[in-house]
Amino acid sequence: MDPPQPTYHASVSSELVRILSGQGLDDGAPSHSGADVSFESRGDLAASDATAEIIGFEKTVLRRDGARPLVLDAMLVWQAHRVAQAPLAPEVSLTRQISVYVTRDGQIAMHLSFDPGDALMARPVHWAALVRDENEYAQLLGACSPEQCFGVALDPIAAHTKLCAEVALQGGAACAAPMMLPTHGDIRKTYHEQSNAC
Amino acid sequence: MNNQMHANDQSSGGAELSYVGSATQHRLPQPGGRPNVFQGTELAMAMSFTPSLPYWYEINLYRTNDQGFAVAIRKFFQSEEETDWVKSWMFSSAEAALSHIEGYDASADVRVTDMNFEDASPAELAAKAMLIKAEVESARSHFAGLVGEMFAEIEAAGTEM
Repeated sequence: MDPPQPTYHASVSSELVRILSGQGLDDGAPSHSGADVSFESRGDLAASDATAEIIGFEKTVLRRDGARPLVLDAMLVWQAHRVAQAPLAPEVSLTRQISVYVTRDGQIAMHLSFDPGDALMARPVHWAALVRDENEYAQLLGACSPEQCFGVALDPIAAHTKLCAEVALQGGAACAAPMMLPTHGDIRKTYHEQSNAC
Repeated sequence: MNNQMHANDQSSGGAELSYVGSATQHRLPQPGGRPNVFQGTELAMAMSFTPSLPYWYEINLYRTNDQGFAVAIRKFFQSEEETDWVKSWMFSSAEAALSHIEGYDASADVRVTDMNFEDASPAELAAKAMLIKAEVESARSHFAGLVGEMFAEIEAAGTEM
């Protein structure tokens, strides 16, 4: 029997939208200069597991757990994902996705997610943040753990506890393998090209 | 067990989707104070019901008729041996209400089940501490996912208008 799926649900009235219109949902994160952003060289935009259809700046909503989404005027410059399967249950997969954005004023934002798919009683988890430097980038990656997908499932009464734990550990390790992240130079180059094009 | 703050309020007994946007009388318990009684409309709700999990949360945001805002956080239990509860807070602005939802720490809702700590062995205490730590992390993750769902839906609703 298939496990029941999480049924998180939200409903919003149009009145709330009207109340919030004009002030938006951005959390007012401090503005950062893009000048001090730096990444170690980890590859280039042509990495085989990376795709990014650069379509210019647009309103970008980056979902994150536990907080209001980041709402940015940004463009997607890099995106990649990895899929790991549970060795004992190939139908169970865990997908990790990383997306890199540049805002119109030159800041770099990242969105990371783990999606446990439909076969497990677990839900996707999301992280998003503006990253100023290598340390913040590392902190975001460090906080991004697949175990959080299964936090609510790791209950003693849950029938899939063992499988969840296996996927969290083995699948998570596979997903966490280094991706060919873009270099700082690649991001800046893309940003300037697109800025000039606009 | 929290018998003082039962999850049912006068209006809905756990928000139903049909209540969103309709004016109703509400009477919601609040921690450390008299119940919040107000007439108002429900602006948004989010729930994390999952059939096989032992509990789920529900978040409700209201606008009162005197132009204030109220937030209610409910916790429901699958077990009939546990009592559902609700906490509520009043705010003067939507921003304050939303910030409260963001800042709510679900770890405070984790209950320490019956255990005789004075007679427990160190190994038992260590095991209990690990279990509580896991429950705290689980509660925070669970609630954070629901908050993310709620704010994503608010943002999507704003985009659609």
